[in-house]
Order: sequence, then structure tokens, then C-alpha cells
Amino acid sequence: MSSIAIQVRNLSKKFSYWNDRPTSLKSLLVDALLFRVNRGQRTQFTALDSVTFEVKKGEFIGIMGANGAGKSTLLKILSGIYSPTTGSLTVEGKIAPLIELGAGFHGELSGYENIFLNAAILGFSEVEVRSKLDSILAFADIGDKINMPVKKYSSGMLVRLGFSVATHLNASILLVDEVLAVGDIGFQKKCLDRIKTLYQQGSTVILVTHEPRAVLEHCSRCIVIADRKVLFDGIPSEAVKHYEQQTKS
Amino acid sequence: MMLSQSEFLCLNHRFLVSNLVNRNLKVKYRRSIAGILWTLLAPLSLAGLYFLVFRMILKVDQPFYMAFILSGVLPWNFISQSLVEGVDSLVGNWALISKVPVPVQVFPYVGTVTNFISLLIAIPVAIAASIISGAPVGVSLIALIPLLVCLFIIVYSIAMILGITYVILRDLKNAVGILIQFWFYATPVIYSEAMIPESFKWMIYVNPFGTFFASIHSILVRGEWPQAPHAIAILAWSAGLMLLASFLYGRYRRQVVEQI
Repeated sequence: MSSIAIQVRNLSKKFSYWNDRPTSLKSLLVDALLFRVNRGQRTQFTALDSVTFEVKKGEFIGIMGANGAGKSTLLKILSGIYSPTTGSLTVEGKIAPLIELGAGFHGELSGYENIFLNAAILGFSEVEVRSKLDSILAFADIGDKINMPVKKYSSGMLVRLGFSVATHLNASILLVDEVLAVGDIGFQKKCLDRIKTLYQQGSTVILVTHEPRAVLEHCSRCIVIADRKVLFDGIPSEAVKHYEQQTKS
Repeated sequence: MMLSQSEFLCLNHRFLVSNLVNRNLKVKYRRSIAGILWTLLAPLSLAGLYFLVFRMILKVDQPFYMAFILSGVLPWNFISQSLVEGVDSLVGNWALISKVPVPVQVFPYVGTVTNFISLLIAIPVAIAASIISGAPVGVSLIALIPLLVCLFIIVYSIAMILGITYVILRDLKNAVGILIQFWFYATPVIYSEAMIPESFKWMIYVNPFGTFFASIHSILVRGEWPQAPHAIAILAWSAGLMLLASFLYGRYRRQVVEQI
């Protein structure tokens, strides 16, 4: 067992798309009839440019960056949705993405049924859900309404349920993206406490935020992403300074 | 890289598949009195209509006509529904695909499995219709099992291919709706393979579903085993389409997530 949870080496991500690419049958046919090769223009754009960093097991690190700096792309690569164009990514352990809470919740199904559906979508097994069911229900605190269709739930209840599922299953790395911005102050505190508990039990936490206070308060290290690159990687107070300079200009 | 066989059949994602199928069935039939019976009522009423038109009015001379019609209409209902839904299986699940790392072939798989369950409920009705109408059904009924497995693979593979093509070619949805109508009449569903003129017999071999219907009619109407050339054609279509779909997904599933 190594002590590294996530290792990112020279990772770049490029997206390519076509401008005015014919995507309808009619334009394809017209082009074919006129013997015209019209594939539009292929445009590439770089979302991340040779990013290198590592996260040790049991660390609580922050990731900051102005809008458009490449944070979302990085998160999608870390959670396995996108694959890197070049460079490498090694993840040791299972990631719980607290990016989209309650992914796949269906309004017509009950809260109880949605727990299983959501956990399955997040890639957990049935045994795992059954063994953690009591603690999921206790934390979500939905009460009798757990058997009601979730379309009748308040948005606060939905977030509680989603957060509870994602943080009670056996994941060793938590990827937290601004989810704490939803819900009332009481709930935000409860979520942070839950994340801290998991951290104290040995989980690795990656917190993506625009909030300098959260970084200063919780993180032992912070990475600032600017212009698709790692601008700074080090102590939070310095990181916040870099971040604030970035957003000023 | 091709999808492996276990990836093709989503074997490592059984919990996810069962939850999504469960969701589809529950959502479809919640607050409905007839519930899952609707999966039978729609094709049965269609079969009744064909019976009326072709037997009573056009006076088609086909023994055990009710058995004949049901053994054709019920599988066709599975095919057309799965393919229409298959077109939208990736694009329609964009919200999930772009936010959670799920293998994308799960979505056409779940759609096809949901419809296949309806077919499995309907097949006993077709068998009962054969027995009641006096068709000489017998041991060849066993051949239904491999036949339906092949049908599942063919339909799932085509649904996969349609789903991934729809990501870059948005005309497909309208085109498939029309195509399926033509496909229905080009396939021996409500007419028998024997009615096809000798010079057009090749058509059932170039149609992935052609020899399936010839075979299911042999089993449920004449009580015979499927003919060897028909069985070979079905196996070849299953293997070929499965390879093509596995190739396309192996190669392009990463891009799909970024292109939707």
C-alpha cells in the first residue's frame, strides 16, 4: 500500500469539436450530391495543460481557481467521467463524488427506492447499501416520508438524502464540489461535520471551492488552478493570496 | 479496443442494471390498474386487428392464423419498441452520463432488457394461442430459448449502434420511426416466408430479423424445428452485430461522453 491516493502527472486534456459540422441528413445529402467535402473546421481547445500534483492518503486539500480555469474538467477527470488526452492519472481507492448529489433520483420513486438507485449509479454494491442503510436513513432524517415519492420532497430533503448516500458508503476519497453551498446553515454545518468525521477516520478529502474561509479553516494544503495550469501548490494562506490576485485581474 | 463480452453484457454492473430496469418498470406501471398487463394488451389488440383485416376481409389462407399472427406481432413489438428507445438511449441519459462515471452501454442494455421482460411475459400467451388454435406444437418449443437469446443480442446490438450514431447524427430519430414501418413489411411478420416469391427469398437473409420470424413461425405454427440455413443466418447476424457494436463502443465510448 502506497501513501498516495491520487497521482496526476503531466496531465493534459484537449477537446475537439467541429464548427458548422453538418449533423443533419439533409446537409449530408446536399454535400454528397455536390461532391463537396464539408466537415467544417475542427477546433481544438486545451482545458488542462500538463497538470502535475499528488494527494497523499488522509490529506484534506483544497482546489481553487477562477471560473473557466479548468477546475470542472479536472474534477471530471478525477472522478473518471473524462479520460486524459495525455499524461497519467492514478487513483488508489474508491472516489465518492459529492459533485452531483442524488444523481439519477427519480421523482416517481420513493426516497427508500432512490437510495438503492443512487448508490447503484455511484457504483456501490447491494451488500454495501444494505449494511449502511440504517446510518443513511438516520443522517438523511427524512422520517416517515421516506416511503413517499421524492417529487414531494423539499429541495433540502433531496440534498440531505443525496449527501447521506454519498458519504455513508465505503469510499476512501471524497470529492466535494461546492455542494455545501446548498441547504441552510444548519445543514451545511452538519455536512461539514460529516466530512470532518470521515477525514478523521482516514478518508482523503478534496474540496473544490471559491470560498477562501473554507480553505483556511479546513485544508492542510491548497492547489490553485489558473489558466489551465497549476499556479500554486502549497500552504492555504499563500494559496488564497494567489487566488485573490487571479480573480482581481 | 473492443468491449469484452462481460462489458457487452454489463455483467459487472448487475446491481445498477437491476435498479434501472426496476425503475423503468415501476415508473411505467405506477398508478395503473392493468399494470404490466398493458404490455400484453397493446400487441394483443393489434393482433386482433390483423386477424380481422387479413383473415376476415382479405381472406388470407394461412392455417392457425391466430397463432401465426401472435408469434409474429409479439416479437415485432419488442423489436420496434427497443429500437425506437435505443436511438435516444445515450442522448436521453445525458444528465447522468456527463456527471457520473457509468459505462454508457448500460443505457441501451437496460432499455432492451426492460422490453425483453415484456416479451417473456407475452411468449406464453403466444404458445397458449398456438395450442388453443390446434397448431401441432411440440418439442421444438425448446428451440425458442436459443432463438430468443439471439433475438435479444441482435436487438440490443442495433439499439447500441443507433444510440451511439444519434450522438453525432440527430436526424436518426425521425428516420428510424419511418424505417421501422418499412422494415415491418419487409420482414415476414404477418405473412409467412412461404408466401415470398422464390426470386426474393434472399431478402430474409439480408434482414437481421428475417430468418428469426421464419423460425418462430416454424416452431409455433407448424411445430417444426427451425431450418438449418435459417438458424445459421440468425447466429451469424447475432455474432456480426455484437462484434460491430462492441467495436464501436470500445473505440468511441470515451468520446461519446464529451460529444453529447
